[in-house]
Amino acid sequence: MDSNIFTILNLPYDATEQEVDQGYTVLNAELSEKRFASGEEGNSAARALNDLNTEYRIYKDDLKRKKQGGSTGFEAVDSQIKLGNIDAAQSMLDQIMDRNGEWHYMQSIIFYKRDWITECRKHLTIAVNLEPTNAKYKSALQKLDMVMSNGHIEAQYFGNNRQSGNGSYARGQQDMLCNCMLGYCLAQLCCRSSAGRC
Amino acid sequence: MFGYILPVQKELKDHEFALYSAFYCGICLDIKRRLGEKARLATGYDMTFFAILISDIVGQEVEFFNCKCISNPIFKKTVVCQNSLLDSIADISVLLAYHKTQDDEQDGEKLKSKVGQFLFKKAYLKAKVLSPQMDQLIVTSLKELDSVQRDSDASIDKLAHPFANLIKQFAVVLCGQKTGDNLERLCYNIGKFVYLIDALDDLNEDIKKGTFNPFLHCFGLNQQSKAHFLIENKLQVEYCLNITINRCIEAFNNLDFYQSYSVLKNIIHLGLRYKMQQVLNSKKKLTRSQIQKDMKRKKTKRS
Repeated sequence: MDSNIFTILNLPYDATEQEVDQGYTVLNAELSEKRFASGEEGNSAARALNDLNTEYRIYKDDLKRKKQGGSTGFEAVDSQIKLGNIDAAQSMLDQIMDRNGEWHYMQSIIFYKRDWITECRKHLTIAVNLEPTNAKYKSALQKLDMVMSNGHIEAQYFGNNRQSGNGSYARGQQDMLCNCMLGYCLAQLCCRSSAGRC
Repeated sequence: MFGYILPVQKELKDHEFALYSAFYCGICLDIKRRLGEKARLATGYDMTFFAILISDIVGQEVEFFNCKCISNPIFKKTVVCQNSLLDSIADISVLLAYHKTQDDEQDGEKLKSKVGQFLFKKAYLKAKVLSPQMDQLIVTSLKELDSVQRDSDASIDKLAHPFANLIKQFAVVLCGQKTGDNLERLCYNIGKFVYLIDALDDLNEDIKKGTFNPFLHCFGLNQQSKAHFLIENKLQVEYCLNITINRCIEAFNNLDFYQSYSVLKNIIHLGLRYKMQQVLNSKKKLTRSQIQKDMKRKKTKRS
């Protein structure tokens, strides 16, 4: 739920529809080619492509709704959530009287940001029941049920995984104390084997 | 905290285990030096994890020394030297241990509470003077927990919030400006995991005594035993715990580490899930000696 088309395309939140379309076309072409690569590279490209297409569809659905005049204060709630003002977002949401699917979806995001995940799921389920054809709600609920609550999924799947070895710094730099201890253990072993206890 | 945040021993390399032990012993000796001999019993594995985590995040300069101690009187052990962070962790360990004894008294465990008070009261009074902010955080969180427990409609998230928030607040205070969203999310979910897994571990006792348990409160009060409860509610319980663990992993993977990544990764990526399965599959409450036995196996083998 944290990723969206803007973060995937590395664009600012105020990017125009044209910029998003352009970014989508370029990244889609790139990932479509990469997904046939062998091994993990191909698998991760296929996953990324799937995420990209889902988020792009959600973005387009939102845009369509806005163009049809569907704005009822949810944009303001959404922008408060994006700014990290969760309490402000909650009080704005409380003032909206029309408790439709979008209202419950927004409430679920607020609970997600607070890490109240069972409450988040409750509202997401209501949103899906109220608007069963909405791709955004279905995708969010699916992600929650299939990924976030999955106890067997590889830990590396979550987050940015900056320490996996592909990050900006070398493997040894993240384990300085462990390396110190390794050096110390080896020194002690040498001491013991050569001259009894040090 | 209660000994649920542990590494998976068999996956730890020897030097990683030595580092983990050095922190554990460092906290223990710091409690002795700062708050007295008896209070050393407040040393716990959860706070050892917390010390390693915060030490890495704030870039604490860590030094080591060798010494013998009461549990290792023959061979010298490598121990982390006293530093300001370890002092705070030592205080928090004792503050939490003392408040736990008061909780035991409320649950009707008078003997356990009396023993706890005998061990920790003097040290608690010292720790309260040395770290008044931490004590205030605990007192506020316990009051909040008490009021939430009286709410018959409270969800599992709402019930876990005071303790989860307490651990987050500890991290915020200890890290100062170096705190951030990911660290706070990690600590919040660690706190939530400890609260939930402790509740699950206590299920049989709470059913017998009729005392408050968040799982019984949310999923049904009329239960005969933990096994019976899990037949009906295992999926929901697993859902809550898995999501909490995966949020920990997600926040952890978004953080940068410089000192002790391998040890922390072992705990977050493997240890939490291992502990969850251990508690889910255990018919009785895990005892302190069982947990210590798990942690000592490797030491015995090596010496």
